[in-house]
Parts: sequence; structure tokens; C-alpha cells
Amino acid sequence: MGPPWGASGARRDLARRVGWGALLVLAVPLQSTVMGSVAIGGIVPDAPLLCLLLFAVFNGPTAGFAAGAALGLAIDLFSAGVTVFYAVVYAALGVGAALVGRVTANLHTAVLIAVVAAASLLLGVSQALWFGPFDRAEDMVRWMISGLVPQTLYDTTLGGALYGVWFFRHRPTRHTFKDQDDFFASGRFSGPVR
Amino acid sequence: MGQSVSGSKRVWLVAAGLAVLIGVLVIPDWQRRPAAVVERPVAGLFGGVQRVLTSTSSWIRGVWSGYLALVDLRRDHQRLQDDLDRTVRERDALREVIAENRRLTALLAFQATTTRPSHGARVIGRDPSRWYQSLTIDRGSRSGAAADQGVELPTGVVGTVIKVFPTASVVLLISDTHSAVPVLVQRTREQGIVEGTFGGRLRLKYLPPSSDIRAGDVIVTSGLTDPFPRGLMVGAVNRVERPEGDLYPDVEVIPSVDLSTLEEVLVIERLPAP
Repeated sequence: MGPPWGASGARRDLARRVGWGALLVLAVPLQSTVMGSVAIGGIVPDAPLLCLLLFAVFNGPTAGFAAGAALGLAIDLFSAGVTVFYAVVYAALGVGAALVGRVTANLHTAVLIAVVAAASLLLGVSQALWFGPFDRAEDMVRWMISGLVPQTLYDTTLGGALYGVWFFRHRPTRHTFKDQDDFFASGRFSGPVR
Repeated sequence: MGQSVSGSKRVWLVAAGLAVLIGVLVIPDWQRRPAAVVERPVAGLFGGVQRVLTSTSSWIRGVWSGYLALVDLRRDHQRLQDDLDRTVRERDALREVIAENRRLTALLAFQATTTRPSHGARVIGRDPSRWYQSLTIDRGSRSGAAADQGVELPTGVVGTVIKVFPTASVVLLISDTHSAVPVLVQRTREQGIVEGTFGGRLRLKYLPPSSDIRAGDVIVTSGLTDPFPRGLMVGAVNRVERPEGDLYPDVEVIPSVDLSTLEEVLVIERLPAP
């Protein structure tokens, strides 16, 4: 027995799942091979993070957690690190982004940009706290100036641009109180109105 | 037919015409003078018509042949453009092959000069995380790669193998903050440890407090630990500072290898266990 929304809905749902899956599976290989070519001043945009945030915002905390943990594990595996640091942090960021998506009534590009900026900054700071400490204060300042801030700015800019394009193409429906009033006023609702 | 000429008159007229023509034919002087009187306007008229016809036909021929030529030209242009594109692609590919050939030749020549056996490997990826500076090579345990093998180039030290998969390995670059390589200053023979910093440069630590190290000094591996044999180039001293209150001088070293553009590397075999 097929899904209640019919065959075309099932195909669309399957295509959506395949699309998200491909995005998440390709994120880490892309990061380690292709993304270096768009580096500016040695700063490489964090493709797995951008993919994860977009996925988590639209798919909820459980999916965000699972995707974050999987992406983080892949990063842990192919990076020089020997811990599961990225699995933990990416899973947490996935949950956080999904919760922001849940509580934000009017989701649009600005919200996603803010989510990217916050996530990128949090990831950078958590790395410094976990992998540090710095030998000297000068190293920390140098890292903040040449690493943390440019990375956050680059992630935010690229993420904002990509999410803007995504929104422009998909135009997700945004419901307002006026929509609700119009709906009840249209007479299509036959139930009791409180 | 009142207006028609009678038969005898017609005969006379024909005869007169013939006589004139014969006269023109046989008397040279007549050929020049009276003929010229007729010839000039007729020739002028005919010449004009001829010129107009000729130029018109040549214009039409030109337009037609030009149009056809344009059609051919477009085709030829497209074909030449395709040829050019293909040639440029082949040239770029050849340049790439030549560059790769030079690099591999240099690697082979260098391999022949080193005392420790080493094996070539291709760089297939960079570290996917933001923190570490590492790269992935296409040489894994199936090809004999093992953890703690040194990785080098003819121009100097690259890093150390830290993770080994069946068909690939992860190499921690010397510029990573977690990397530490025992070195010595070639001029003074003083020993120290080179570590990575966040700016992609190196820091030479634990030199003797009275060290005479100067900018421009060459830093080489000391050979005290297994991954690297003695004397491999690490870099050159860029800056030496002696902060007040610090026991050791603060020495910044620029790596001799451009770690951001690596394509092939040599993995050094480890020494057999004693």
C-alpha cells in the first residue's frame, strides 16, 4: 500500500530523500578534494557544515542529529584527528539548527545566514577549546584573526548565497496570521471556530 | 502601300549600301573617317551598356560567391575553432604531462641519491576538517604503507603518515600544530624541535639559550627519530626573537616545501626493527 498522498507524491518524496542523501554523502569528499580550489587566503569554506545546517533546518532534530553524527564521523575518519570530536560537534550543531528551524515561524534566508554564522563560530571556538591550548596568547590572536573570523565570514557569505539561491528556486510556503484569517473567512473550514 | 519602297528603288538602295560597305572595306581612308563617326557613339553606347552589365554581373557574382564563401567561411571557422579548442586541450594536457614528468623524474633522481628506500604516492585529498593540516595519499597498507613513515620531497620534509587505510593514508603535514620533528641548525649543529603554527609556518623550539641562530640559517632533520633520516631539508630561519623572560629564542622557520601545492610525494620506508 502506497503513501496516502499518491504515486506522484511518493516519487517526489523519494527524489527529495535521494537528493538530501547525495548532498550529505558527497559533502565530505567534496570538502577534501574540490573545495580547496575555492579557498581564499587558505580559508576553505566548510561544505559539510553548510549541507548539514540546511538539511537539519528542514528535517528536524532527529535527522539533524543523525546526519551531523555521520558527517562528523566521516570527517574524523579522514582527518588527522584521532577522536570523535567532529561527530559530537556536528551532531550537536545539527540538533541546534533543527531546533532553530522548529521555533522560527517565518523561516527565510536571513535566519539561515544567522544559523550558519553562529554554527561556524561555535565550531571554531569548540575546536580551539578541544585541541588547544595555545602555546602563547599571540598564537590565539593570530588564529582568531587569520582563522576563526575569516572562516566564519566565508561560511556565512557562501552559505547565505547558496541558501538564497535555494530559497529562490523552491520558495517554501510561509504562513502568516493573515493567511489563517483568509482561510477561515473563505468558508472552506467547516469545523468549530474557537 | 504608299509608304513602301518600290522594288527598283530597294535594289538601288541595297546596291548603294553594298557599294558603301565595299568602299569602306577597300578604301583605308574611308575606314578611318566615316566609320569613326558611327563607331564612336555606338562604341560609347555599347561600352556603357557593357560596363553596366559587366559591373552588375560581377556585383551579382561577387555577392553570390561572397555569400557562398561566407557560408564556407563560417563552416571553416567552426572547424578551425574546433581544431583550435582540441589543440589547446591537447597542449594543456601535454604541458601537464611534461610537468608531471619533470616532477617524477626529479623524484626518481632524488630516490636514487637517498640512503633509505622510498616509494612514490599521489596526493588525492586534503584534510576535511578545519583544524588539522593533513593530506590523503593513494598509498595504503596494501602497498606497504605504515603509520609513522616519513613523507618527503626532493625539496624537503612534508610530514608523517599517521593513519593507514587499505588503499590510502593520511599524512600529517609538518605545518600542523600537532607535528613535531627533531631538527638541527646546519651551521651551528644545535638541535631543537620544529613544530607547526597556525599561519602555515614552523616554529623552532628548545634551542640552547645561548644559541647563535640567525635569519637565513638552514634547518635540517637531525635523524634522531625514525621517520626521517639525517640531513633532510626542513626550511630556513625567517625571524629570530629573544623575548624578555623567555629561556629559549623564538625562531620562525619557513618550510622549504610549498605544502599547499603538493601533488606527488615520496613515502620513506621505516628502518627494520633491531
